[in-house]
Amino acid sequence: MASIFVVSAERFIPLFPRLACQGVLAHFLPTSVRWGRGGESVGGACVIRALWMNYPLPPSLAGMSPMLQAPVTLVGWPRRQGVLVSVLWLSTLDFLFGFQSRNNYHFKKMLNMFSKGTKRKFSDGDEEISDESLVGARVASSYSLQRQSLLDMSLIKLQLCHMLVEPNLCRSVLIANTVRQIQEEMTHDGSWHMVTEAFCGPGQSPSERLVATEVLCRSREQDAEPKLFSVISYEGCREEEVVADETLCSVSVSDTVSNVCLAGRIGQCWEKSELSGVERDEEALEDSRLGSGEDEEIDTEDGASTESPKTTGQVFGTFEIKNSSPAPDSALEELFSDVDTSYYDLDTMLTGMQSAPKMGPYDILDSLAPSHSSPSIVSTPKCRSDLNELDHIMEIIVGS
Amino acid sequence: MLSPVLCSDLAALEPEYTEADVISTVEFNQTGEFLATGDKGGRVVIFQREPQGEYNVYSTFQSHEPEFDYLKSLEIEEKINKIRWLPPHNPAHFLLTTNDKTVKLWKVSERDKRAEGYNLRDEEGRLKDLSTITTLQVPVLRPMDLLVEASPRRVFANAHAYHINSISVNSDCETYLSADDLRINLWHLNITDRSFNIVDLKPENMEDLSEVITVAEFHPHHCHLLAFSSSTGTTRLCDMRARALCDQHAKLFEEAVDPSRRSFFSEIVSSVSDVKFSHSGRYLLTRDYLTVKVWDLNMENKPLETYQVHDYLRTKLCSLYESDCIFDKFECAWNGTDSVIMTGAYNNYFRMFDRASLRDVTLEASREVCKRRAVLQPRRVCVGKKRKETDVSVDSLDFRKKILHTAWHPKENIIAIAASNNLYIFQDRMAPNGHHNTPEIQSAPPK
Repeated sequence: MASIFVVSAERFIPLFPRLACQGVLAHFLPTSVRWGRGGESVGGACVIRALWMNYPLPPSLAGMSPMLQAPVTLVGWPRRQGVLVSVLWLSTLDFLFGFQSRNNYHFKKMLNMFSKGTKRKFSDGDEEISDESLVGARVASSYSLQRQSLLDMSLIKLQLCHMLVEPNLCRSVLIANTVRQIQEEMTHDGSWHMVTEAFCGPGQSPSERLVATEVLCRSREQDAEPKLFSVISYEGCREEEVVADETLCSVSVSDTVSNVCLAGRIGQCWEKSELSGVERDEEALEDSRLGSGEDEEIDTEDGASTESPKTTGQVFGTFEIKNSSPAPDSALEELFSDVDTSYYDLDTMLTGMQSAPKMGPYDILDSLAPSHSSPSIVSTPKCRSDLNELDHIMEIIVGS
Repeated sequence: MLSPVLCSDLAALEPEYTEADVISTVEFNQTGEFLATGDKGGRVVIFQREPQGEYNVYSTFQSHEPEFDYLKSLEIEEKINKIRWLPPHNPAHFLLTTNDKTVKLWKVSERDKRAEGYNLRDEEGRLKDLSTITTLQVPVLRPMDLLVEASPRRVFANAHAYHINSISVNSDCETYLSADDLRINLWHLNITDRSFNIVDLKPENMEDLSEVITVAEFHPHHCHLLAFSSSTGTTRLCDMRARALCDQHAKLFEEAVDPSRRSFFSEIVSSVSDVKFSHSGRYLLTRDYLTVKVWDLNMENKPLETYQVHDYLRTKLCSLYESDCIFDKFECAWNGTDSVIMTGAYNNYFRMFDRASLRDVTLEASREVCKRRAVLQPRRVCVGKKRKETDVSVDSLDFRKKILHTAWHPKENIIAIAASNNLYIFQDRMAPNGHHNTPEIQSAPPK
C-alpha cells in the first residue's frame, strides 16, 4: 500500500496526517491519481483502511469505520499556490467526506452525505444554512451563500457517479439544469464578476481560495499570466471514472465574499464526449477569457454562453484566478517550517515510495506513474521520500 | 370517500428484508383477477383473487437476471421497472416485464389435467418394452393438482441504449411501446429482432441534453395516440398518423410557471414522474413531485384540476434535494370510473382525491397500522403546532418510507399499495363482496 501525498512545489502536504488530525489513520491504496496543473500538486484516491487502533477515532467517525474501508475517490482538489488545500473531497460509495481547511489548517469534516435517502441536517458550525426556499426577500449574502451551497451540492452530486450501475440519467440532467440555472443567475447579477474581482485586488484575504479548474490539463507560463489549475481527465477510463475524477471543488468562504464555483463538464456525466473537441472549445473559452483580462467578466460569460452549442457544455465556464503574490499564512509557515520540500518530488511520488515502518509497503504508485503524468510536470531535483519524515510531521500535527 | 379495509396482507413476516425484495412495480390485469408485482431482484409474483375476495400467490418466477454490459463495464440491474398485462385472448395470461434494457413477454398458463395411458411410454416416462404391448389404448385426461407455469415467449433485447422506464401495450393488442430516457420504440409482439423508433430526444451533442423522457403510455382506445412526459414538466401527446417519427408533438400539456414563484427547484419539482390516461380516454393524469394534475386532452395550456399531494414539503425542498428524495418518482392511478385518483407519498402515506366532491384523504400503509378488517384511519400532516393528537408533524416524517407504486383495480374499489417489500391490498369497506355501493365520505375535512 502506498501513501498518497499532496505535493506542491512549495509545500509538502501529506494527506493522511490531515485525516490523522481527525483521529483516523489511513493506509492509502491508490486507485487513481490526479495531477495538479503544472505538476504542482497531486492528489490521489485511495482505499482507506483505518488503523484506528493506533489512533483514537473521534466519536463522530467511529460509527463509520466500515465505510472507511471503501474505495475512495478524490472528488475535488482545489489548490491555490502557496496555500494548503481548501477543501478536499473524498467520497466513498456511500459517503462524501469533505475536508475543509480552516485557518489552522485542520481538515474538518465538513460534509457527510449519504448517497441515498437519509435526511440529514446540512449545517456547518460557522454557517447557517436555512432550508427555506431561495426565492424571496433575503439578506443578499445569505442568499448568495445558499445559492453557492446549492451549487456546491449539485456539483458534488454530479460527481458521485462512480458506481457499477449506470447512473440515473434523469437525475443527472435535472441536477445539471439546476447548476446551469444557478450559474446563469450568478452571471446576471454579477456575482461572477464580483468574485473574480475579489481575486484581483492586492489586499485579498489569504484564507480559503477557490481555484478554477478545467477539465483538461493546460500548460501555462508561470506567473506571467493568470494561473489556471487544471486536472487531466482520463481518456482511457470508462465513463464513470471520468466523471468521478473530474475536479469540481468549491469552498464556502466564511466571510461574505461570494464564492466562485469550479467548473466541470456535465456532458461527461452522460457519455464520453469527444475530449479533443471539448478541449478546443475550452481553449476558445480560455483564450477569450484571458484576452479579456481585467474586462468585465460578465461579458465573457455572456459571450461564452451565447457561443455555439458545443461550448455550452462548459456552461459553468472556467475562471481565471489571478493570483497575487501568495500571502503567506503564518500558521502554515510555522507548521512546515522544518519541512524540507526539496525532499519531495513528483517523480519520486510516482515512481514509488520507500516504505515507512508504520505505513507498510507502498507500491501502487509505481503502476500509476506512466499513465497519469501531466505534460507539464515541473521536475525538481530528485530526492528521497522519507516516510519517517512524514511520520514525524504527523506526530507533530497530531500532537498539536 | 372510500374507507379502505385491509383484505390481504402480503407483507413479509420478518422485518428484516433484503434490497432485492423491494417491490418496484404493481399492476392489475384487465379484469382485476390477477395482480402482478415485480421486485428489485428481478422476480415477478402474481396474485390471484380468490372467490372470497382475497388475493393469494398464484405464480412466482424469475423474470430477469442481473447482467453485465461488457462494452461499458456496467452492471445491468435486474430490477423490474414495469409490468403490463396483455389483454386476454386465450386461457393463458400474457404479461410484459421489463428491466433497464430488456423487455420480455411471459406466458403464464395453468395445467390441471394430465394425460395418462400412453402406449409407448409408461407413467414415469420410460419407454415400454414393445413386447409387453398387446393392445392399443387411448390416453385419457385425468385431473391433477394445479400447476402454474410461466415461460418466456419473447425476448425483446438490445433496442435501448438508455434505461427503459416504461412499456405500454397498444389498444390494437399487437404492438407495444417501450420508452427509455431519450427514445421511444414501437414493437410488434411477435417480432423480437426489430423495433421502430418513434420518438427520439437525443440531441446532436449530448452536452446540450436538458430533457429526458420519464414516462410514456398509449391511449386506451386510440391506437395512434401516445403520451409521454418529460423531466421539464411537459407532457406531449403524439399522433402516429402524422408522421413516422413523432418528435413533433400533436399537443403539448404544460402549465406556465409563475416567474415570481420560480426557484432553483422549480424544474426538478415540475418533472413529471407518472402519466396515466383515464379509463375513458378523455383525461390525462400527471404526477409531479408535489402535485397531481388532471388534464383534459382538449385543453393544453393548463390542467383541469390540480391536487396538492404534500405541499408542506415545499419549504423543505433544499434538504430533499440534498438527500435525493426530490428525485423520487411517484406513480398515480385512476379508479375504474375515473372519479377518484390516488398517489403515494412519504412516511408510508398515500393520498386519494375524489374529483367530484374535492375531498381528499391521507392514509397510511404500514405494518403497525394495518390490521385485517380494520378500517384505515385518515392521517393528517401538520406544519406547525398539532391541532389534534393524531396529527403528524412534518419533521417526523420518515422520508425513507415512500410509497412509489400503487395500483387500482380496473373495476372495483380495490387498491394495491407497495411499501418497500410489503404489499398491501385494501378494499372498500362498503363493498366487501365486490359490489359497488355509494362510497361513504369519511375523509378529513377539506382544506
